[in-house]
Amino acid sequence: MISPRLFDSRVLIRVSQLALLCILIAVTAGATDSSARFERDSHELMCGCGCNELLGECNHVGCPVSPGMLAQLGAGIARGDSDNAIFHQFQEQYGPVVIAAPRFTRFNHLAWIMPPLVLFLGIGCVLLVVRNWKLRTVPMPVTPNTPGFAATRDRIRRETEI
Amino acid sequence: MPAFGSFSLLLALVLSGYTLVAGGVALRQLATGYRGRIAPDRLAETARRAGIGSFFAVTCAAIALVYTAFANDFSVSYILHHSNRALPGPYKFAALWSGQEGSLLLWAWLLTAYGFVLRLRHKVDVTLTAYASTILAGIQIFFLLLLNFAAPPFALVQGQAPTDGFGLNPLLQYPEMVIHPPMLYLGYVGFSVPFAFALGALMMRYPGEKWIHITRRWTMVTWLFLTCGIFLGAHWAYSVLGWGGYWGWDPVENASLMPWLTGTAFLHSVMMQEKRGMMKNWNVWLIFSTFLLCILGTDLTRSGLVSSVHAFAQSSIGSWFTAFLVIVLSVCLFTFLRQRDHLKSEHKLESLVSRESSFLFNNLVLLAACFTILWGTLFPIISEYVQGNKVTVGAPFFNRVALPIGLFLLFLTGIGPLLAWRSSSFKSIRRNFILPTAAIVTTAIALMAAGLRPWNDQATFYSLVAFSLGAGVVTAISSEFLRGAQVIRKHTGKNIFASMVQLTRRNTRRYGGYLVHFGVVIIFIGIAGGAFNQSHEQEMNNGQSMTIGPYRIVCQSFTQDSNLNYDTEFALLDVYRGDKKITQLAPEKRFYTASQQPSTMVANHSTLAWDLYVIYAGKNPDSGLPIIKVFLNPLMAWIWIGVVIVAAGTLVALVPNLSAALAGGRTRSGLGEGVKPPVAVPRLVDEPEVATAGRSRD
Repeated sequence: MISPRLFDSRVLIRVSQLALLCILIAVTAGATDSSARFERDSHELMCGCGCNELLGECNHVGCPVSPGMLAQLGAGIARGDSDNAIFHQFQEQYGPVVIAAPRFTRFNHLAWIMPPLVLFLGIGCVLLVVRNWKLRTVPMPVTPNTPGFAATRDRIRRETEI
Repeated sequence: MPAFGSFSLLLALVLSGYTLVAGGVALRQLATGYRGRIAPDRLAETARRAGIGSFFAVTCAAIALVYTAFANDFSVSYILHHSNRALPGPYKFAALWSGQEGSLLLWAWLLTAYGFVLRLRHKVDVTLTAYASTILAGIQIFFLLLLNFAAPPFALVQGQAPTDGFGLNPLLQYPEMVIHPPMLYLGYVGFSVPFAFALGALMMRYPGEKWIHITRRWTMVTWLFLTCGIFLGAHWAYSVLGWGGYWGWDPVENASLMPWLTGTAFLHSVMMQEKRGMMKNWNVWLIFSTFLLCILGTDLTRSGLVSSVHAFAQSSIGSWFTAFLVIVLSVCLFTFLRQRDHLKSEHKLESLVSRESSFLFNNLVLLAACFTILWGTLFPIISEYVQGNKVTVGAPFFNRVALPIGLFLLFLTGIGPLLAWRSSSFKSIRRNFILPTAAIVTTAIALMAAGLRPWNDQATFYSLVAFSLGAGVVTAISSEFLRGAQVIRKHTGKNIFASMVQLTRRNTRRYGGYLVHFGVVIIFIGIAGGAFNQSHEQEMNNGQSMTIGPYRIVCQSFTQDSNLNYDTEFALLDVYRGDKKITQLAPEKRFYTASQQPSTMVANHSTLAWDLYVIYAGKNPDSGLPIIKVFLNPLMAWIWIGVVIVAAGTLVALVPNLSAALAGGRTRSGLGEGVKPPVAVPRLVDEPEVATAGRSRD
């Protein structure tokens, strides 16, 4: 016979494993067909006309730059170039500001690392603070078993049960 | 009129200066016991009245600028650059905040208006209000210095005044732009008040938590304004910018979101201080940070440090804001270091699984989100400094980093209210969490069965998580409402709906808060719908059609028109669903005469399921045919509905509890008992005792 507590922890582990698997799949999986890749990559580049819009979203009437950039992107994908090669070409031509988010190179790693690092450090600090507080807390005396207390508690539980 | 406006601003500066100096001297005398020729209470009263006077002076200046716009006085440089004769009346009024100088005047006017209300309501706590009034006067002085010397709105043009102005930026000629900036500024400026109270309370070592009760409504109203301002801006971007989205992670947008995040954290963690006397240091720094972020955001976007599509980006007032930021931070740090022993927690956290710890984590996640946005906004500057070249940190970065944090926040929204104060037992956790967990799992399975494939791409995965967590949070909130309503129903015999209303009236703060959480879930569901956006672009001749989702769009005609303000090109498009015509849309492209700039007028057919969002992208120069771009944006309307629910929930939370209102009524009629003011603090005379009407237990 499996105890309920053991069962709960097993279920919890399974659910955690499943969630982790889902995250891994979501992170690693990606669109593979060229139209989806074109759509995705056009949202990884900035329009070069100075409008501060993503290339895939630049909607200026007669924008002198975005049609050429989109055609260049389409040609790169059609040639079978990798994303890195395409972005490198764009960077050479339009400068580093053409890439909409920092690439994973040297100092730019910091842009991606800092937010999760701060979050995890924060969680660590909170856990540490809670632990210290708990260690320093003087246990509260147990409420004496006043007459009717248990009955009231049971009534409240019954009334608020859905 | 320009001379009158300039004089009003100078007068306001003098009056604010007097409020600061006289108020400061009076409070110093009060704290040290030293008595000068004028008694401190009388000196403080003159300072208060001067502060009230500064509001009237700035009001005169604002009226003068608006009058100048309506009178087409193009000898005033600001009016020349932001108005023209053909501009419709409401936009002439909006010209007040359409440029750098005017928006600073609006800021100063709102600040003095908040100060006016605060100084009128000084009897709520005379001494604390005197501190807050003096601090507010310091902030007023900064803005009035800017208006008098760095960015004067009444500066005159050199030589002969032109006969017509250059017009208002076309992007701003949209009804929402008449209310979005004032809302946003009401939010930004409003945080000055809780900041002033917090700093004042710390300076005077104010005992107890009454300052929090006094500022609670200020903070909530301010938060509500900022929320509405942010979403009005998002709706404006959606309706006017014509790229199919509503949030582009532009530095100006980020600047408004950062204080909103810390303000939200403050609204939550302040409950810990009220109920348990905990997190006092944290709360003080949260409200300091919120105010500092309002100033930092303004500094970033007005100094030109970071590039933005918004108009204020290039100006010379950045150094003023930087200096002000340094001064405010120094005052906050100095006061905190001097008085930090006053901020000791009265209780400690007893369990990791408790309402307190959920607030801690909620604060942590909100601050992590704020840091992420600040980091992303500043990284181009840091990169330029370190690497020598500027990189772009745009939407792809923020979407990847901020979305998981947002979902974690949504998760906490659900579990926080289900945990008990101090400690939750394993049994109660299991009892409270079983339904929400079942809702999460069932929703995820149902969505995957309905065809959602989270392994296809990240957007789908995130939307699945958002829908599932949303279902869990809604279940958690509903069960909380139902539990409480059932008890009332049993005891009063009322139906369940009436019981829910009574339950909410008994504890407006708690159930108003749940309503806000419900609104947040609805907003997340609307945002999650963005994973399934579709778009299609096509040249359309008369009679030609295109299909997107369930809609067929047929071009009836395309033509052009003009009026005094602009020339326009538009297409008339019939929208069919099946064989039934459901509406006609007319997307436009305008070209404004005065400013010589184009603008998009999006046509949108919005339903609960999706928005059919149509843009007139221009004409093909070769064929002469209009290019129509269509987006099908699922669940968009839910975002705006969610905001309305958030606003309604905040308003409910602002209403006093039924029992507190009754107690307040009894007190006013002489039957109730007032609460004694805190002892052992030097106080100004004639200070009344006040009842805590409106203070709720949760």
